[in-house]
Amino acid sequence: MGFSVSASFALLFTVALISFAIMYTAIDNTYSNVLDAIEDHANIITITKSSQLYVSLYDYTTQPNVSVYDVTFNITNSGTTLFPPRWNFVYDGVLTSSNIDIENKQYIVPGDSLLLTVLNVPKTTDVHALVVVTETGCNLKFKWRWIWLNQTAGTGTVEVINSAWYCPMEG
Amino acid sequence: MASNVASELILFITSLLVAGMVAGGLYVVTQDISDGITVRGKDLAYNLRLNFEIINDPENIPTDNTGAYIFYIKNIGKVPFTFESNSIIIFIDGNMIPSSNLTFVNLNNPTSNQLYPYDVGEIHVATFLSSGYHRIVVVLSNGKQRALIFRIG
Repeated sequence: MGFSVSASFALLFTVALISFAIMYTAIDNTYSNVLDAIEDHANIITITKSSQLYVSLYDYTTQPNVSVYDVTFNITNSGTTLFPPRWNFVYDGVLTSSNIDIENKQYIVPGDSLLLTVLNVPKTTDVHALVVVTETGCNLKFKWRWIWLNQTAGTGTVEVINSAWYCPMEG
Repeated sequence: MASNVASELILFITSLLVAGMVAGGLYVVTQDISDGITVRGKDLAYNLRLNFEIINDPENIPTDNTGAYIFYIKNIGKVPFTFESNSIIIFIDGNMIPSSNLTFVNLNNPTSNQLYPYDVGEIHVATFLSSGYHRIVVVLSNGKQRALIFRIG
């Protein structure tokens, strides 16, 4: 009788220990996994909230006898460090990279600027728009147009109409 | 004497059987709960790492050669998600667009149905939209959704 109780208790105790180990491992792994994910999520939110770009300067190059011009924007980072290789560009509504020439920088740190040139823009008075989409989904949108100074001579200038910085919201 | 040994043996085996059944039950229940915790934790972690955005210029929605509107989806999260009509639902102005009217184009990995972090995909929506403002809502299979108010015309 005594041996039966001892054996049964030993069996139950062993399984209880194994069960506890299984449960502990599952809870510990899950906790670590969720904690890492919360940190990742918090990092993304922090970068999103603290990032900001703006157009600080712009210039253009053209020739009087051609029907297109290149416009260069100086984009300054007044927020946290961003990663230009992961940016996308929506030019006049279309996702493109063919007409866009961006300065080759791996990172753009706070206060730093980079040059972004839109190539071969037609010399018309149509308003053009470029949306720079950062890796966090935040957008710098700006519009510009060509203004003729002397259409016969083919001379004119570029005017930036407006620019806006906006970020996605949760939910 | 022999009957005593037999009864002791029967008692021993019975007690071990009962203890074994209890132990087996405990093990199965523990395993089930730990599996549930693991799965639930993975889901939660995946949902926290999953994020995307509609990156169109809201004032200028392009169309393809069939007249379908093109919406650009960028994965801004840390994990890939399935990018196909079976797993993504589109609403425009509250009306669900049938999956037969949707075409998904993965721009970075055309042969893959997974949109990886920082990749961009196109959703071609074949529908009629009047001039004015509209609202598109893109819903992923886990329920995460993003909306964009855009203008046509």
